[in-house]
Parts: sequence; structure tokens; C-alpha cells
Amino acid sequence: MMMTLIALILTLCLSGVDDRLRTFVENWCLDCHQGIRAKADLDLEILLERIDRGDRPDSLWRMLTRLERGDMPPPDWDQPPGESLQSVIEQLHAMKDGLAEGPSPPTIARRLNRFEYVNTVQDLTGVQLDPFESLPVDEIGSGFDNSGDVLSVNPLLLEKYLLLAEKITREALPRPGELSSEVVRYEGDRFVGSGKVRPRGSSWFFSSRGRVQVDLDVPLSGDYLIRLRCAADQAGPEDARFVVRHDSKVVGRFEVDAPDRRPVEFEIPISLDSGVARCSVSFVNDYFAPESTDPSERDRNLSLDWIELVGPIRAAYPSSFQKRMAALHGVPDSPRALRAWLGELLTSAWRRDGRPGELDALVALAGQEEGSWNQVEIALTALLVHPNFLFRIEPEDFEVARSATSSERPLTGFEIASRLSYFLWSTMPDAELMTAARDGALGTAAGRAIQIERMLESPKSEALSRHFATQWLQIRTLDQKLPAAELFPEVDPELLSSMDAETRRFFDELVRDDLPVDRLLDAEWSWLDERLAVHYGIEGVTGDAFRKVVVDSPSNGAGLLRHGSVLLATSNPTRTSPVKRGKWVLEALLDDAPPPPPPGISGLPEDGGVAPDATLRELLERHRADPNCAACHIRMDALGFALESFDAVGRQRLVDGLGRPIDDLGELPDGTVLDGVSGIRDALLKGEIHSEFMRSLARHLTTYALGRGLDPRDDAVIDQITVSFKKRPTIRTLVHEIAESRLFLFRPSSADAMMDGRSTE
Amino acid sequence: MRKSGRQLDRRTMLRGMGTAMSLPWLEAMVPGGLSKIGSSALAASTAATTPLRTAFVFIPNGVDPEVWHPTGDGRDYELSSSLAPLAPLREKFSVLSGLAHHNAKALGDGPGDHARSAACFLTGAHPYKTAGRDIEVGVSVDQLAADAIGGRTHLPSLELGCEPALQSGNCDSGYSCAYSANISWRTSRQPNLKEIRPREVFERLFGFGPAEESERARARRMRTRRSILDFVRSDARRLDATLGVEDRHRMDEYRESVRAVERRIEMIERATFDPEAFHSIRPVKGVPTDYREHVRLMNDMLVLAFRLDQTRVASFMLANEGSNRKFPSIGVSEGHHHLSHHKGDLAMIEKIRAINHFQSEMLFDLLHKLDSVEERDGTLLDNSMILYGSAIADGNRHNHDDLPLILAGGGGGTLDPGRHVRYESGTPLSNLFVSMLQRMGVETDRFGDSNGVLTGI
Repeated sequence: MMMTLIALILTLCLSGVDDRLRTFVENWCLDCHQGIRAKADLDLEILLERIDRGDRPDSLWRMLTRLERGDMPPPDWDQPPGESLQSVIEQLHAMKDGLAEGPSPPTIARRLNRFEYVNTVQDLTGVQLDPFESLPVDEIGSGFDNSGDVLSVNPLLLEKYLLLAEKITREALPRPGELSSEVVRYEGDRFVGSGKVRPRGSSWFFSSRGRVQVDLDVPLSGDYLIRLRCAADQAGPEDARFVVRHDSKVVGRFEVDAPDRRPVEFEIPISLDSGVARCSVSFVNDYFAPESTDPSERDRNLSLDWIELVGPIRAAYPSSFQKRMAALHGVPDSPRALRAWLGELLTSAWRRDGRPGELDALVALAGQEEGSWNQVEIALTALLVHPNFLFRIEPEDFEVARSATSSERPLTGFEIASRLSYFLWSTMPDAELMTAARDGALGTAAGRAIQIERMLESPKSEALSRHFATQWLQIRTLDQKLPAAELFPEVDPELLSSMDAETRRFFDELVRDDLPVDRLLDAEWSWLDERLAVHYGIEGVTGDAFRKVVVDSPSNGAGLLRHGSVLLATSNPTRTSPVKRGKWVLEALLDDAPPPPPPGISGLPEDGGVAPDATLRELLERHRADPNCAACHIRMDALGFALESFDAVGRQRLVDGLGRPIDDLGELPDGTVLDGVSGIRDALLKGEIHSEFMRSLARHLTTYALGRGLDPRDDAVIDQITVSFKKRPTIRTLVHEIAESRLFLFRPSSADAMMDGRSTE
Repeated sequence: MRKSGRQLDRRTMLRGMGTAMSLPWLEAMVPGGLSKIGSSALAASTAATTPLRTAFVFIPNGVDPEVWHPTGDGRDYELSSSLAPLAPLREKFSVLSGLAHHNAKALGDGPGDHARSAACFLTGAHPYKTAGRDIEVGVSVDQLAADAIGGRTHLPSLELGCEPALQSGNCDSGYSCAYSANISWRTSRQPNLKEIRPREVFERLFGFGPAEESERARARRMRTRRSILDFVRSDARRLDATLGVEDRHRMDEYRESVRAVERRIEMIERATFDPEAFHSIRPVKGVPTDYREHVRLMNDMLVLAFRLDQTRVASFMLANEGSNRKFPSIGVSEGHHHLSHHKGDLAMIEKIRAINHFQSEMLFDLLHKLDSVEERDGTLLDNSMILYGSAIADGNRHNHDDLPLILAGGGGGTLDPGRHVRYESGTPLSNLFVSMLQRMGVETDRFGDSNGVLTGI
């Protein structure tokens, strides 16, 4: 009965197309937005049909934005009368509001992505895995790799989970009496040199740049340590440095941080295959100043005494995992202790207390093996491939689904603990969070606030910059964006990794020090190491350590807008792309993605045949003369042009690649002139655009926190979050607001559960 | 035919592989020759009939059709310059001209030809335009074959590639990356993850567990695995009752995956060959930095899988669609996709031709290795169908008709290679898939947008 009423209300809310809307669309829109060549990929004929069927696709809200902003119909076309435009805008708003009444969609059970998996395994067992080597890339949904929509599972992946689980348990559970690692030392007679190197006694001496190579015999595949001992004659401004390679891949870079001739040992953990492993040591920063008055300052040299191969490493019994568990429950050699171990593991792996029968089943499984360690091993392996471990499952409450008064249920303390933990740390809840879940603290706003503050204080919250900020700012794949080597020979993978670190550290600082988010756009400082400072042409930064450096005068601060990471990620391999940069500002900073280009135009070309004599601006302006392109490109290109004073690899410049002076003015459709990067910054920091920026950040972070794309039904909550966020505009506030919102603390019923409810009535 | 028991070490093999390897390359690799592997691994090939193996090899970004398509028809055709590396094997393959993939066209969906062509390549279907949610295209031809004959081998099918899925939701004008990075679709909504690391393919084929393990330990491990999988599967079933519909769908996927792994364990338990025997040819870990080396190793794994009848169906993406890979070893320092939009620039066209030439060398490497394996009725290549090509014809034009396609192998006596076959322009490529499926024992007369079978292959 109540369901019928709800159905009725839904029908009323989702009524079909009003004649006014249809007439408006027919008169003013269909000329371009119809049929297979529909502009912006938007066929409004089809859209009207879908509205009639009760659908409310996202394209509708895109249409609303364009109408409200006056982008459509394009300025040089006939314009509709003001009142009919206004009435259609109101109508669309009413539709949106009607839809927003409904309950938000639930998040689909999320599989741990590869980073979450690796972090969780480490917290649970102490075993370290390499996320990039261990598991395949995860799909991206709604801009992030933690979206329940796309984190599915398939046979190949499950097979990998099973193999990994076996590897993990093997490492976590060494047996008493197992062999420890062997050590084999290789001395000078086994080395082969090239360049300015020569044997000196049993060691080798590097008088200048050169390399020493050795073939290590690897008895079994497994994890090893390569250990080596070096000494240096120090001279010049820095310590002697060397690089270690395995099969031409760099596996270690070291500085001999010691006075003359004092030997220092270095270690490199490495996974090797059985057979021969070819390793080499190269001296990379020779220094020679024979004219120096101080004899000890004349020549920098390196010497290599020996290389040892240690392994295969079998964590000796007891492993850190066994110690930690035994401290809690003793050695699992009695049925009672075994049960305690398995209970503890079940709770941690499933991130909640066991339910009746669950532990019994696990103990029964363990009972199939003989010997206590084998029993722990089978149980832990099973837990690691169990759906309750691999997925974050929030069960449906069918009572709630059937009830008419509520369409969502409050999450349990454990579920909130998991949500918080994967949101802020990208890993499982720690013991304190589990306790807070168990004793009800997470059921209160005050209890949650305490935990959130504690979690943000922890170094583990760097996961936010590593996983949220890099994806929000679209710099996650920076390492795959090496520019053309002919044009930018100085840009190498190390520099890209410094750029990535710059942005992450900057974001970390904002979170840690609770700074206003406007600093993202106007900070006059950044975080640099020597490599990056040299790249930017900033003096006085030496060494590999990142530090806070003032890079601009206070009035010229531009925060992220001048980060090499962002500027490079939005360039082509050979030149800047104002279009990509403009698109980035719209997507990342304003959450206003432009639609794809119309049919017949190929995406954003990598570097579509740029005539050598025309400036980029001339080309783009020619292209914008086409009204097809103008509607979107006027905005995009203006924003991109204003960033033209930075080249394709993020350096400030006065002239372009062909020596012509840079023109970094951009003009927005409303006539606002953006004068270079500070022009964009000022525009973003005031008025309506500033609100859009705040809202964009709120929407992106909420999407990440929830693990699903947002839809209009979430708008009301997003509005609330944004209001509080604006009052105290810091990331911390935003985190608290999101975590306190209905979207985060409740689980809506899925539509189908409502159906089930109806059928049983 | 077997050579003496000379054993090459792994490194020698890695170095020597592909530089026009002399005859039965595999024989020399395995200590004591293949006979030592144990007869049962080769049981299938010594059974009454030699099985038919089928592989689909994909190249991205189309080609330069000017110098790709041969001139002349039938047996006396003249091989084009792009295909010159294949000359020594010209009696073992046919070039097919005129075939088209209608469903790779926009059909009202706007830009995104790269995503569409990869998605359509083996499905013959038109992908639903979406950037992550609701991906949908169609079941691919290799998976239909795997459904029919995959149960007879260790792995129902094998999916190989050289590039990982791309880390971004939107890879091509509003299409999900899943479309550009996969050609094998297990269901219309689920692409098959592909392996890009040669070593992991190897482990999948032989090890499925740590390599240095006694037979007894392995048997125990398999038993334990079955208990574990049984345990988690029944828990997953119990969970169902508590879940909403989308979550239930996830658990379905989970349970299906568990079943697939269980089936693999069963196959391994039945096999009696000793994985140790293959130890010496195990590739190194990781992805080789040299692309040529990478493709050759993947070719090796494919040949090995077919040779030992570990699977009879495979697909191999030389690169993801839209790939912007550079080819420094052949002097191409710009990205492939970038070059493909050459707009008539001669220098760029030259580089596209160099890339096409390189791809033919890689195909030759594969075909040559297949042809070097003697089986009871001719070579392994004679008992295979290898379809090679792209679903974009001209990378500069993004057209999907007159696709560049090569059908290699004798199809176990059912194909008549060695010709240039020209079909009426616009003939669906799907017709070829129907013909191939029938040869693989799938009873069907339609696939994708087919309107018949392809005669004259």
C-alpha cells in the first residue's frame, strides 16, 4: 500500500516532457542537436524521448548549465525570448529537484584496488608487496580507481589473489628451524670493469666515470639482499655518488656519506630469478679540480670493496607477524590458542567481529591440516581470498528496504570504520579504530571527529595526496608522459617523479597544517628538491630532500597552477596545449567537463598538423571561428592561453618554441580578460567561479570517499557540505563534513530491494 | 627430427630468440628434448587428430594502406613492401582485402574510432558509448570458441598483450579505457584481463605455484587449494541472501571466478608432465624494456601454449588501440598514434611505414616459430588459424572498410593459404568469424553483423 503511494509520487515527479520544453527545444536547439551528426554528441530528439520514459540522463543537467550560462544557443545564432528561456530553465530545475528527492544510489561492494590490497596485507601480516608488480591495473570509474562500479573480479584476478595469498602466508609464517639466509661474497677477482676503473688489491678503484660489473649466481628464485661496501675520496661540493643496476635497470642510487676512505655498507632488497644476475656499479659524479689549493679538494674518487648476495631470504622464525600474534594469544599449539589466533585474524581480515558460526567454520577448515602452523596457514590463506576480505561489503537491510518510512539504513560502527580508513588511509582500520567501532564511539559525531583528527595526524593520511590528489589533478599517469626527447632532453623519469612529489607534498602540507584551500591556487611557495629547482631555474636548493621554497613574490603566487606536474600532464609531447590546459581547469578545478567534440572532429589530436609558421593562438583562433567549436573552445582556450607563459615541461618562458614572444592573455565569454596565470588565479578566487571551485573540490572528494559517481539525488547533500566547507575552507573541514554527511553514514537500499519488498507484500 | 640433448641456458635463448631461429627451437631448449616432458602433455597432439589452434593478433592505429595491400590477386600476387618480411612464408598465409567492420563506425556516436575499433575487432558489435560505467559490446569470437572447445585444455583461452590497461576512465572521446585495451570479451560486459608479462604467462601455463616444489608438495597444495576455494565459494553463496542486486552481481562474478580456478586445478592435477622440465626456458620477470624482445617473448609463450596443448584459443594485442608507443630501435621517436594522423606529411608517413614493416617482422617471428614445430600432420602452423590485423584501415582516415587482414596457417587442412583474396568491398569481417567458428566446431551460422560465411579462404 505504502509502496503504491511511493510509486505514485515517483510517477508524479518523473512526469514527461512539458509542451513548453518540447517547443523550446524544437525552435531553438534541434537545428544542431539532432540525428547522427548532432553537435556535442547530444541528440535532443532522443533526450526528449528518454524524458518521456521517465529517464533523467546527465546530459539534461549539462543542457541546463549551458542554458543558464548563456552559452546556448551560441551567441551568433538567433536567441530565444527571455521569458521562454527562463521558463525552460525553471522547468529543468524542477525536474532536477524532483529527482533529488529520491534516495541516493548505494555504493556497489568495492573490491580493494591494488594499492588498498597491498596496504591492507601489510597491516594485517607485515608482508610487503609491490603494488605495481603484484596486481594488474584497476579500472577507473568516475575519475578514481576506487569506484565500486568498475572494481569487478574475474578468473585471472582471482588466480592472482590465490597465488598472492599463498606467497603472503609463506612469508608471514616461517616454521621453527628453517634455514636462514646464505651470504656469498664477490670480491675484485670476480669483477669486470669498463671506463676509468682498475683493480686495487681486492677492491676496485674508480678514478673517474666508469663501471664495474659482476655476475651473481642465484641458486633459487626469491627475495635477496645485494649488499656492497664502498669508500670514497671526497672533494667538491657533494659526496661521491654511485648507481647500482641489475640487468641495466637501476635498482639503487647511493651517496657515500662518509669522510675519505671510510668504508660504508649499502643494501638493496631485490627479487631475483634463479640463474645469473648481472649487476653493475657506476660512479656517476666524478670531480677533478687539480688547481685547487687544498690537496684534499682536488679529486673525488670511489672504491668498491666487495658485493655480497644475501639470500634467498626466508624470514626467520618467528616473523614479526608471529611475534605480534603470539604476544596476544600465545603460540597456537593448543586448540584454544589456535581458536584465538583465527578469531583475531578473522576480525582483522574481515574488518568486523565474527558472526555466529563463522569462526567455527574457519576452525573446521584449519582442522583439515595437521600441525598448528599448517592450520594457521590454510585459515589465513582462505581469509585472504574470501569475499569479505577482497570486497568491502555493506549488506542490504531488507527490513528497511520494505519499510515506507526510510529507504536507507545507518551503517554499523565497523562499516564506518572501514569507510573512514579506506577514505583517509587507503588501508584497513587499525586497532584503535576497530575499538571505537566496537564500543560505539563511531556511532556519535564526537567519537567520529576524534578518530578523523587522529587519522589525519597519522602519516598514513599521505594516502590522500597519493591516491586522491593525483587522480583529482589528473597527474597520476605522469610517469607515462615523458615529453619528446629531442626537444626536452633534460626531462627524465626522475624529474617526473620529483614533479609528482612536489604536488603531493604541497597537498600534504595543506592537510597537515589545515591551510585554506585557496592556497591551492595562490600559494607563493612550493616543495622542491634540487633537481626540480634547477629545472624551474630557482637557485639555492641543493640535495635530494624536498623542502618548502618560496618560488614567487606574494602577489604572483599561483599554487598548483605553476606545478610542473600539472603543466606537463596537460601538454603534448612536443608543445603546450592550451586546449588541454583549459580542459584541465574546467574538469579538475571547476568540475565542468566540456562535452566531447562533435562528429567528424577527431578528439583532441596529439599534435594535429601544426603549420610551422602560425602561432598556436592563430591556429586555435582560426579553429574557433567555426561556431561548432566556438561554444566550448572560447572558455577552454582562454584558460589555456593564460597559462602559455609556462612551456610544455612546466618552465616559465618569455618566448615560444620558435622564439616568438608569449602572449598569455585570454578572454572569457563574459568579457573577463585573464592576464596570464595570475589572471586565472584571480578569476578563480572570486565570485561565482570561486564557489564552483569549492564545489568542485567537494564533489571530487565526495566521489572518492563514497567510491561511486555522484548524481542529482546527491546534490542537496553536496550543497550542505559545500556551505559548511565555505565557512571554514580547509581540506580537513571538508573531510569532516563529508564523513558526517548522510551519504557517508547511511546505506541506501538498492532499487531492486524495493522491488523484492513489494513482491512479498 | 629431434636434436641432441644440447641445452641452451635461458640467457642464450633470450638473446638468440627470433633472430631467425633455426628449426625446432623448442626441442633444443628442453633438457633431453620434448620427449622428456612426458607423453601426456603431448597427448592431444598424438591423439587421433591433431587439434586446431586459433589465435587473433591485433595491431593498433591502422596502417598505411598505400604500401600495405598487395598488388595482383590469387597465387601470383605481389607482396607489398609493408609485408615484405613475411615473404619466406608466403605459401602459409593469405592476405584478405575488402572486409569491413560496420559496427566500428560512429553510427551516430561521434568521435572515438580507436576505442570502437578495438572493441569491435573480435566482437563485430558496436560498443555502448560510456566512460566507465555500463560498458557493453558483445561476446568476442575467441570466447565463443573457448566456450565450445576450451574445456578440453588447461586454459580455455589465453589473452596476451604488451601494454597494460590505461589508467584513466576516458581513453578516447568518452569511451571507457576498457574498450581500447581489450579485444577479448568474456561476456558482453566483461573484458578478459590480458597478461603483459611473459613470465606470468609462463607461470600460468606451467607452474601455478612456486617453481621449486616437489611433486608431493604440489599435490598437497592443490588439495589445500580445493578446500579453500570450496570454503570461500559456499560463504559467497550464503552472502548472497544479504545483498542488494548490484552486490549480488559482484558475487556472481566472484563465484564464477572461483569455479574457473577450481577447474584449472583439476586440469593441473590430471596433467602428469613435470613443470621442472621447462625451467630452463622460463622468461625473466617483469616487462622487457625492448619492445621487440617483449613481443618475441609473448610469441614464444603463445607458441609454447599451443605446442603443449595448454590452450587452443588465444588473442594477442601487440599494443592497445590508440597506442602512442615510440619505436626507438627502428628510429621512430614520435608516438605511433601521433604519426598515424600524418595528414599527408611524408616524413610521418615514412615512419608509419617503418612501424608497419616492424609489425610484419613480429608476425613473421610468430608464424615462423609455429612453423618450426613439427606435429603429426605437418607443422603447428599448418594446424592453426592465425588472424592478424586491425579494425582501422587507414590510421589517418579512421575508416573501417578494406581492413588490413592476414589469415595465416593451414587450419588443419581447411584453409588454402598462399593467396591474395579480394572480397567485394564492405563484406563483413564477421563473415570470416562465422567461417572460423565453424572450423572450430561451433555450430553457428551468424556472428556480429555477419550476413553469411566467408568463402574462398
